[in-house]
Parts: sequence; C-alpha cells; structure tokens
Amino acid sequence: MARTPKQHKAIVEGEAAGAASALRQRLDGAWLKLSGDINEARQFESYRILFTDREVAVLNDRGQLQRRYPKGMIDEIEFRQALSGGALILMTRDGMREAGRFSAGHAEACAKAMPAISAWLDEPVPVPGFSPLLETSAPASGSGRDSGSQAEQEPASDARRRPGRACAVCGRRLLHRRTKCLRCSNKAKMFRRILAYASPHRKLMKASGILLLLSILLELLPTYLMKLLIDNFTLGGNPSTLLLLIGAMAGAHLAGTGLSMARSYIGLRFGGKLMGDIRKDAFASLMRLSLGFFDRRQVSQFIGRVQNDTEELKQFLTEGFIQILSQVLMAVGVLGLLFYLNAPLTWMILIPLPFLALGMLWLWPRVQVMWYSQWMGTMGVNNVIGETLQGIRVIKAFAQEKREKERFGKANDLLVKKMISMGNMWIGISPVFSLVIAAFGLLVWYMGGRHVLDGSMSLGSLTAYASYLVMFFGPLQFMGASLGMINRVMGSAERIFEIMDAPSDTPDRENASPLPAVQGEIRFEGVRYGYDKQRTVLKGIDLAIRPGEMVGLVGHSGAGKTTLINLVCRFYDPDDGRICLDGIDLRDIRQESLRSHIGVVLQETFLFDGTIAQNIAYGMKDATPERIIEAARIANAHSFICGFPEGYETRVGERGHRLSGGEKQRIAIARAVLLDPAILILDEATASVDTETEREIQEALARLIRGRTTIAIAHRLSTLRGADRLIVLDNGRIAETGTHDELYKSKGTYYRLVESQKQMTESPQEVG
Amino acid sequence: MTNNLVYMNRAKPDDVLLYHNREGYLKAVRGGEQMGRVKLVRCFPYSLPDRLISIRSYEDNVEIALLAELDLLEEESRQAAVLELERSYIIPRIERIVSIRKKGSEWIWSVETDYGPSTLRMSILHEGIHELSDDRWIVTDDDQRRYELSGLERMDRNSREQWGKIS
Repeated sequence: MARTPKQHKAIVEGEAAGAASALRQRLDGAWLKLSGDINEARQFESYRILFTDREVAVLNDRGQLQRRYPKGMIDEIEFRQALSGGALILMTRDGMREAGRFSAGHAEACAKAMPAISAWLDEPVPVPGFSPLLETSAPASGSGRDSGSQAEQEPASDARRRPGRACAVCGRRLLHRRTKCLRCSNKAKMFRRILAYASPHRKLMKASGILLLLSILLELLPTYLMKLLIDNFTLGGNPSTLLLLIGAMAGAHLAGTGLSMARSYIGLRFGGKLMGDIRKDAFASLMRLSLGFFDRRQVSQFIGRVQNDTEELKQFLTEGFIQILSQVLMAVGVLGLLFYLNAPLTWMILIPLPFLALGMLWLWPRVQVMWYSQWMGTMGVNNVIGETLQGIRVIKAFAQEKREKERFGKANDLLVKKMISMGNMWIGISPVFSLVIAAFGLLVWYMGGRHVLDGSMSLGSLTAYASYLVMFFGPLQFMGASLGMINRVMGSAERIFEIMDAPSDTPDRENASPLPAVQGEIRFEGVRYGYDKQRTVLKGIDLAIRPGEMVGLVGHSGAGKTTLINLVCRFYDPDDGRICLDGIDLRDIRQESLRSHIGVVLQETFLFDGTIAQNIAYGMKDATPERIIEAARIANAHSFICGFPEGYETRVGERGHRLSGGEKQRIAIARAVLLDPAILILDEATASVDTETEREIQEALARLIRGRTTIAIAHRLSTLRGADRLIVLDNGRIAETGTHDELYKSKGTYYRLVESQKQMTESPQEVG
Repeated sequence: MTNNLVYMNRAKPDDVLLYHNREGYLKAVRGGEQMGRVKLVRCFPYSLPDRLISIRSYEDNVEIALLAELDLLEEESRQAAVLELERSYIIPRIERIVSIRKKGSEWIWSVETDYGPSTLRMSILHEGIHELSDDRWIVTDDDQRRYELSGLERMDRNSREQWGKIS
C-alpha cells in the first residue's frame, strides 16, 4: 500500500522518537558509568562515559548525548596511561577515537574497569528488538562486569582519601651521651660564651636594656600612685588630685603596654638573628668534622643538637636572660622603695633572706641532678624512636613490633617517673614559698597596722608597703623556678659548644693548597692505621699505583681493603707513614680539592631526596641536561630512567628508597661519570645486584674506568678480571701483587681465595 | 684528562618523521627506515617539556633517537609529536591562584590553569609541593594529579599573596 509523504514523515518521526526513547532507556540502564574530566579541547569539563549493551555513549554534565559509538563499530578498546591521568581510546572501523580523557583521580577508575570493558567487547551485540529493559535488568554475564561495577561505584572522593599516608613524624630527635660532665664544666666561661653571640647585636641589646629599665620603673609607679590615692582619701584630698592621680595611673599603664610591645618586637628580631647565627655555626662545625667523629657517635642526635639546643639558647638569650635581669632589677628597686616607706620594718623582713639563700644553695645541686636525669630520660626515649625508625624494615621483617613497643614503654615510663619527681619537688617548694610570703604579709599588716594606729604611718603607705612586699618576693620565687631553666640552657650550650670545639681528625696543613690538575699516581709509604689505636688495621703498606692503572684489592674480610681506600679519600689520616698523590702528601692538598679529583662508587649508594637529575649532577651543579643524559647513558641508566613517567625529574625519595639497588648503583656511576675524576674508587660496586644487572653495571664501569687510576674492591673475584694488577691484602699487609694468572700460578693467598670461592660457587667462570 | 662522555643517539631532526597511522598509533621513520610503533618520553617533563624527547620503540622500549628539540621537527611530525605528548602528559599549568584555604584537615586550592579552572585538595600540604628549581614547583593533589606552578612573579597580586600564605 502506497504511503503519502505525510504518512511517511510521521512513520519516520515515530521511529526516530522510538529509537531515541530506546536509547534513553539503554542509557538509564547502562552497566558502567565512567566520569571523565578533560574534554577534546584539553579543558577541564565534567562528562560521563556510559557503556550499554549496544554502545559507548558520552554525555555532558547536563545529561545530553555528545557522542555515541555503536558496539558493532568498535574493534578494540585501550586505556592509555599518561603521567597524572590517561585516555580511553576506541579503535573503530572509522579509525581511532578518543572516548574520554581523565586526570589521575578518574583515570584509576577507568583502568580498573578495563577487564570488564574487554569482556563486554567480546560479547556479541544483542539482537535488535530485544527488550532493552529486560536486557539491562539481566545480570551481567562474565566476571569482568563485576569489577567494572566496582570501578563505577568507587567515588572519586574515596580514591582521594585512600590510606597509606602516614602522618609526618615530627618531634625531637636523638640526643646522646656527652663527653663532658655538666657539673664539671666552667659555667661562668660558658655563660660568657653564650652572651658573646649577642655582642654583634649590641644596638638591639642596648635598646632592649633601656626599655627594660623604663618598664621596671613603670611597673613600680602604679603602686606608689595607689599609696597617694589612698592617702588622698584618708587624709582629706580634693577631686582634682584624684583625677590627676587616676590620669597618671592610666598613663603609666599605657606607657607600660607600649614599652612591652616595643620590647617584644626587638626581642623577636634579636632572637631570630641569634638563633640563625648559632645554628649556622653549629652546622658549619659539623661539616668541618672528619668522618671519624661521626663513626663514634649516633648521627641522628645532631639533628636535636642543631635544632633544639639552639632553640633553647635562643629562648634564654631573648627571654630568660632578660627576665632574670629584670627580676633582679625589680627586686633591687622594690627593696629601695620598701626602705623609703618604712626602713625598720624592711630590716625586719630581710632577716629570713640569708636562710632563703642557703635554701637555694641546697636546692641548686639537687635540681641539677634531677634535670640531668630527666634529660637522660628524654634521650632514652628519643634513642628508642630514632633507632626503631631507622631499623623499621628489620623490625617488620622479624615481626618485632611488640618487643619494640615494650622497649619504648620502658623508656617512656622512666621519663614519666623523672618528670613526676621533678614536679614533686616544685610541688613541695612552691607552697612553702607562698606560705613564707603570706606569713610576712601578715607580719607586715600587724606591725604596719600598729604604726597606722599610732599615726606614724599613713594607710596608703601601709597598703603600698604590703603590695611592694609581694612584688619583692615575686622575683625571689622566680629565681627558684628559673634554676631549672638555667640548668637546661647550660646543658644545651655545652652540647652545642662540644660540636663547635671538637677538633677535626684530619685537618689540612697550614700550607695546604688546591690541586688544579692530577695525573693519578698514588703512592703509599709505610702507611699504618687503626680505627682503634690499640688495634692496627694497616701495618706498614708500601704501594705505588701508576697513573691510569686499574688495581684490584683482594683479601678476606677485615684484611684492610676498605680502610686503604678510606685513607686515599682522606676520610682518615694514617697514624704513621704517608700517602702521596702525584708526589704530594695528601695532607698538603686541600681536602675539597682532593675529593674533587676522586670519584667514588660504593656498595651502599646514598641518594639525596631530590630528582634523579639532581642526584646525578650532585658533584657538578651546573651540568647541562644533555650532559646528565649522556652520563646516564654511559652508566646504563638512561633506559630505566626513561621508563619512569617523570623521567629524570623522578624524585628518588629519602635515601633513594623508590629505586632498586641496581638502579641506585647506576645513578651513582652516572654521578661519577659526570664528575670525570682522575681517580676512581669502586668498593663492592656490584655486590648487591643480580647477574643481569651486574653485567649492565660492569659494562658501565668498564666505560668509566678507561683512562683513570682505579682502585676496586670486589668479593666476586671475577669482577676484577680486567684489573691491571691485583693487590692481595692479608691481615693488614700486602701479601702478594701481580696479575690474576701470576698470582694463581704462585699458589699463595690469592690461589686459596679463588679455590674457596670455586668450591662455594662450583663455577670456575665465577672466580676469575 | 679527556672527557669520557660520548654523545650517542643524537638524532638529526630531519632524519626522523613521526605520524599517526589509521589506528591512532604513533609511528616513526628514521633515515627512510620504518621503525614501527613508537612512544615519546620526555626526559625532563616539567622543566624541558619540548626538549630532549626520547623516541622509543613501543614494544621493547629501546631508544631510537633522542630529539634535542621538538621545534626542529618537520611541521607534520611536530604536530603528531605534540598530540602524542599531550595525551601522555597531563600536567595543567597553574596560571592563577584564586584561593588557598584550609578546611578541616584539608588544604583546598582554587586555581585557574591552562586546562581551565580546577580545585586541588591536599591533606598533607608540604608533601605535595616539590620545588624543581627557583620559581618552579610541582603541586600534587590527593588524587595524584600534578600541576605545574611557575612564574609567580608574573602572576597577579592575589596569586602571589595566596602563595605567600603557605610558602
């Protein structure tokens, strides 16, 4: 039957409306909804990507359809990971289409849903006409769908708050046993030294002192004005005097507040500068010290010394010292006024002062001991925290958390006990002080009252006297309380000055000079050395290494191999004999200059918390990116670095914990390559890596060694096969020297070492 | 002493052609030789986004060439490279800081970027800001989205004030 154009149009419109309605139903029942947030124009925009049984549809945030990709047209779906995000790519019959692009928060959900999306794509497209409602209500086939649903259900905000971020651990770090006893040191000398830090800021100090004097006067004034005020009431004054006195009191309070603000302002500037100076000096002293100094101490304690002890000194210099001074001045001023108001009464109240002084003298050493003991308690707690955090991997690996908690509990209990006993002492002393003050107050009221009654003293004078008496005992009480503060400051000063005064074990000679160019000849002449002077490690080493020669150091553990290279780097100085570089004693070369000619690759590579590029360029801050890349190439590191999304700008984390041992090692090699040193030291550079990584590192080292004087230590003797000469150390002496073949043939110490390794590895290839 | 640095793989830009095939894969031709599907890696994605680009084979991650500069490529190749890099590196550049405020335990940044306005939420502020060089930082929010912040001196007064509150 023929249709009219009108009928045809109606049918077409009806079909279109039906299709739109069916599509809407399918979209409403979509089995997966992903959120996208970057549009095709590379702008942030919220939209949704819906997966129905028949298509992938993109809807804007108002729910309007933007794009639709029928399932039958899609050959493949891929999630392309990007740095900080990703994109969902559809390979359609019309070519590649990007369904959506995501920033990191949304990309994760998309990546998670990929298995479900792949499973969906593998399913056949449903037969047209099949009820969409029925289809969507049916459970999704294939396990993949479930994970897709999970991806949908995970809101972005949950992903944002995922666990695993520990709170930053803050707080004080390790303090450690000191070399000097607090009670034996010269307090006056130390006090002068602390004050010496204030001398560059004399102007500020003077200003602060003048303001202090003025504020003390202003503090004393209102009480005297009060006396005049009361006398004005009781001895028949007039309203104008009253107004004048009230005005004067208000003026004194106002001026006092102004002065106090000015003093605080000066104190802040002064304190900040002081703290900066002391901290800078302490850190510079740490940098000056030799490795030996740190070998003998727990290193983390120095964080506490540089930070907390400096803060303590600053507190004293800016507030404590001023406070003590102001209290002393206040006491003197008040005493003068007391004498002025009533001299006989004042003499009477001074009678117990010698007893109070004796009490203080009795208290002083006890407070000292208690503070020291509390400080030790704090140190104990800090030590446990520091040690536990440093060894956290071992603790976790051996499941010793409970034990560590108990250990901490003990140290903590001890500290709490010490703090309680310290508090107990003050609890006992403070009320006694208050009692004494109250008793004297009553005495003054009684004696003074009698004077008022017989007319020899005005009521105003008595009230002022009683108030001044309280003001007089205030500083005395403060002195008692400040005993603790003074002790703490002295302790801090001693710890800071201990660092500053510590002599370097490896000082440069006075005429030491820099070495501009180096050939690389190293000569040991009768070198003896022991970390502990009672136990000599190297016992008379005579050795000459030619420029450009590669020497392998071989020997049992403890034979002195590492010690030998530590001496070349001048981490320590020989006890006897000398080491020369190009004929110059190392002590005559400036240490900084010497070390700029030495490249070191150690078994334990230390990387700083920065980017890979910054770590490679550690010895050469102005290296260009091109040179950094080339150094990394030589070190076989370029490839794995390019594998990181952030390339050379990947942060390695504290001590490089985000990298594997082999990766860290190659970065250390790149660092040495960039430095381009004349002398190279390799200490077990390939000990802690697998065979494949070792091969890559060996390859890198071979490139690095070319043309440089090299001293290498390796347990795996095979790695020293390329050495020009092997030096066999035995019990601190050179037992043999020669090439691998010569030494092996002579059947001495080296032969035995090789044979023992052979037995262990059962592989002659591995042992040279 | 002579330097051991040996320059390798330094591609002459006119040697390399880059294009997207029908499937949308980036492919490279070097010196007339088809190198197959490749990926582009920025060696310094933050500080040198258009320099030192490593062209690597997609399958085995071997470097085919190191491009000194993107601009030296022939125009069509450059466009293909830009398209690919845009897809691989989503690092909006902060152009204006509208506000930085603390709400509860979170720091909330309201910013305008070259991708449009955005909001960053950070629970530990100091862990999310990394200095790359003077006047250049990477800010990573709790979603691990990275934003580049640089050229503060050129930003408006409000942006500098907002930054000054936390720096």
